[in-house]
Amino acid sequence: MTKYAYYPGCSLETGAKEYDTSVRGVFGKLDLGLTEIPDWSCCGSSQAHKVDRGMATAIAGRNLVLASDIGDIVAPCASCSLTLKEAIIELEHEGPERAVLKDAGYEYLPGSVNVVSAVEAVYRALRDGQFEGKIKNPLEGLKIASYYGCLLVRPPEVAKFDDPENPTSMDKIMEAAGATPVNWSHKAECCGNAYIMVDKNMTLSLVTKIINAADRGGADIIVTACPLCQANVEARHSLLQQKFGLKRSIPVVYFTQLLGAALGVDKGKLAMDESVYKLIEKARQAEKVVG
Amino acid sequence: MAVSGQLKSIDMDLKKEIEERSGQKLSMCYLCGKCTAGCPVAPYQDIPPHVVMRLAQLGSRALLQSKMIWNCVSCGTCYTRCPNGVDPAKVCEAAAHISKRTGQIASKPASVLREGFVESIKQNGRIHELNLGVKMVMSTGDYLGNLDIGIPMFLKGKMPVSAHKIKDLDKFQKLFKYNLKKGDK
Repeated sequence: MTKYAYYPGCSLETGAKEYDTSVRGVFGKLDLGLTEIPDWSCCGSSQAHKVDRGMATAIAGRNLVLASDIGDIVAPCASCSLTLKEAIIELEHEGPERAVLKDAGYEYLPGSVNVVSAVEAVYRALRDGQFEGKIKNPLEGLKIASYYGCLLVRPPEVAKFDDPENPTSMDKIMEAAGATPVNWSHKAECCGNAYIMVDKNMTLSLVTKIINAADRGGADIIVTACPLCQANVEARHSLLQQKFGLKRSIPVVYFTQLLGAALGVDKGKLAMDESVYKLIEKARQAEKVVG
Repeated sequence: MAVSGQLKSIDMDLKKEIEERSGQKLSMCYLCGKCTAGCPVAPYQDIPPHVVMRLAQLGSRALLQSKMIWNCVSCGTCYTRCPNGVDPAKVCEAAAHISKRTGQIASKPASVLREGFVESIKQNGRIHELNLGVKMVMSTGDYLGNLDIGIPMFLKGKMPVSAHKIKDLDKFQKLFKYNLKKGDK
């Protein structure tokens, strides 16, 4: 059994609770162990490095040190996983950041830890045959737009995962869950991340382009793997329809919520709106008629 | 930002500082514009990324008054597509640092976001969204515009009133050392 050191990150404790509970549910069904890193701290996300790069490396590095005797870290949030991966690259060389960590009581040992996102961990499990016989409720007929956003796959030298322009890992996961991934243009476009708080009109315009692209692709639903993508793309659809030219409102869930439904994870853990289960059922019935 | 007259404000020290701080060799950029073609935020800013690169190459102080250097969202598209391995986002980041020092911040909300974020994690060890959200509302003056999201989140228990403090906060706070890198001021 693969054992991961679990780094939930701040969002999964608050705004993205359903990502946390669905990740735990899915990993349980796939026999992937999760041990939460004790007393983990914020990774610094997309903001700390803009204040000071060295400081950002040190604060992210604390989590690497705390995880090093548990195992490889799985960080479901795209921003957390990228930030922690970047800190590893910085800390592999002897430098002032390592000294700051050591002075505070956190000794970083090179090569002691790796980081993967939840998509990577699940994709590895799929590749290793761990899905076999586990898809209890296949998502037949459900057309899915896999939305990767930026930081799961970019910059490629840091993310070291999938293709930075046309990623396909989440599509393959969804396909294995019985769903039909759609081809669409905006799978790795930016949603505007935390700049929703800086320039709302800009971010809402970006979000509208993304959902309209999923509509053109014929998607029933969008899946994400990032709390900020999810929050930005899911919200304000009526405002987007009135003022930004949104064609059709499409539901947005975490990939672990839909995968969890296919694996038979408890509804309580998935915390998914009842309307999504109806959508799954409707797609399944339509598929039967066609099939 | 007034782009006209930019050539009057050439400063080779500025160019050198941007190079050191960003770790980017500015002369590697031949202004092909691929960064601008893919930049999701460029249409909403004053200057696009390849103009940021050109002003940086020239050492033009006009760059420091640009909104773009603050509003780059670090999505990584420009760097991923650059044929010469240059990272315009890092150039924006370095220029924003310098513009803060010289008091020319062209996007106050972006500055409050990054500073407020770091302040919040330093206080608690984890981010406290409600506290940061209030700071952002104050800085943008958009007092009601985010309540449509904020209130439902609050009601669902997704925006706790009190912050989660980590246990080893004292040790964690020792990590906040600045300007560790060569070339940082």
